[in-house]
Amino acid sequence: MNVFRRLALRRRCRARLRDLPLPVPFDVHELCDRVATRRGRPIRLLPVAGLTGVCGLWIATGTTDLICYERDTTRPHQDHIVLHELAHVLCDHYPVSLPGKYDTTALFPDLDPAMVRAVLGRAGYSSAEEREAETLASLIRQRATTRADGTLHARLHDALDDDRE
Amino acid sequence: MTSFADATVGELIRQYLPPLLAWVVLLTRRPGEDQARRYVRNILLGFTISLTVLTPGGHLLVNGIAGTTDLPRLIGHAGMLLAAWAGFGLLLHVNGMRRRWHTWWLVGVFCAMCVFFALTPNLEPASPWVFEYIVAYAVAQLPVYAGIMWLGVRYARLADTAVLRVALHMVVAGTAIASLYLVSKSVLSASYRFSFADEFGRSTFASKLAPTAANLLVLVGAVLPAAVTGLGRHRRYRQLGPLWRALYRADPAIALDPPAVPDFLVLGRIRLRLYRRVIEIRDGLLALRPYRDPAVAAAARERARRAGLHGSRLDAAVEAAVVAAALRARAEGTAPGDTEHAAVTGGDDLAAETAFLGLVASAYRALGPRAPAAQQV
Repeated sequence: MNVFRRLALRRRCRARLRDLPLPVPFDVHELCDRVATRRGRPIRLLPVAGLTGVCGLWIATGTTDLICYERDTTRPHQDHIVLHELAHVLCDHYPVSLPGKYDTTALFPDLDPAMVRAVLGRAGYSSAEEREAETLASLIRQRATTRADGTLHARLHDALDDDRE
Repeated sequence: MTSFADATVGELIRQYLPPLLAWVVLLTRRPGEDQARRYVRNILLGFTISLTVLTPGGHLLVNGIAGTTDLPRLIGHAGMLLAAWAGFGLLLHVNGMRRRWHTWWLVGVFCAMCVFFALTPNLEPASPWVFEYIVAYAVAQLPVYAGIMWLGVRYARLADTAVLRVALHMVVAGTAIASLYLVSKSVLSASYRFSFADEFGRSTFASKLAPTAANLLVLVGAVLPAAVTGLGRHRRYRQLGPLWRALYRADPAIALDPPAVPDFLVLGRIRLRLYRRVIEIRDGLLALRPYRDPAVAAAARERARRAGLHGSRLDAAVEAAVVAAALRARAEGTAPGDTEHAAVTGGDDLAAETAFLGLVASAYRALGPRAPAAQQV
């Protein structure tokens, strides 16, 4: 990706970030709840051990968004995986994704495949959608870590620190 | 005012180093969207305007454009009032105080300064209304400076890091020197009006060294935390390099934006780059999972124990050995029959995770020839 397209992508992601109701202090579950409330569609987070070929998965059904994330990794990595899938939701990627790319029946035997509207998994950044989701997830985490947590010195550090998006 | 040709090297450094530093800091600082960061930017903007127009070159430029003789001094003083307003506003804001008296005070006194500036024929020390102008300039800032010093000392006592404490003390010291300079300048101006001798006010220390020292102390204090934090992040980013490169060579798909230059040349956005490196290492470790060998982990743990390691250093040494073996197995296409299912070691938050992966990267590097090559990519 050339530098101009990369800058345009970051600009687009920063614009989305401005409207995002980031909780203070940051908590990815709380952020998902807020986004779900805003969209009027519940978001369910499901830890799954040993996802095959992907480390995160967004499954959109008629009524719910399911976000599956790798259980056997560290908490910051899990948070990032959830943010990546949430970024797909925020960017409305599902209308152009191709249902059926990932077999959900192995993961959720009770889930009727006919109910699944879209599936997106986090595995590499070869497509524009994956790059956008990954960039937005990284920027959300950057913004979140720099927001004040209520203590005086945290706010001072936050104000004086120069390296943030 | 000393002309450029007459000035010594020392005098040129005294005149132009602070504005140069201010420009560098202002132009390299990223714009912020929250109030606190806007205050910091306004501090730097005020300093930059003031220090620039008050140099001989700034004087020539502004006067050449505006066709005036003293406008640069009014602009420079306005810049300093902006910096004082933003500095006090920042210290109030970070403590959740919502006072606004300093805004009205500075605006009101600046209006009075503008009136005096319009009344005076020039800003020569003995000219009419110059004494009033100088006193108004000091009166505008001294209460605000007192507030900055009071809050700065309080916050320095509460600071959680030595760097923040030192930075706040530098700002307080610079503000104290600036206060003394304002008082000295007012007394010097009074000496012309009321005809008394003021040798101290005319000395090089009071008229030149004190304001330069004050400006430098405040500027360096304002940027010190960001500079020290940035250097620490860059060191950590480079520390993670060998491990990241080894994983990237095994699976290039982990990288969102592969770096185009060696690590030591990577400048800017270092916080984001460090975060990406942590996430990409974790992605790489997940991709290696089918090749992790529990026998390698057990042997490495025993070796690390014998070497006297414990805690996170022991975990990091084990992880590095397992990763090295897994990378070799992946390259050879020989996955162990019984893959490792031990609990994942790492940090519960981003700082702890970054520190742990730093230890793993160091341990991986220390493996030397036993580790798959991690050449620069």
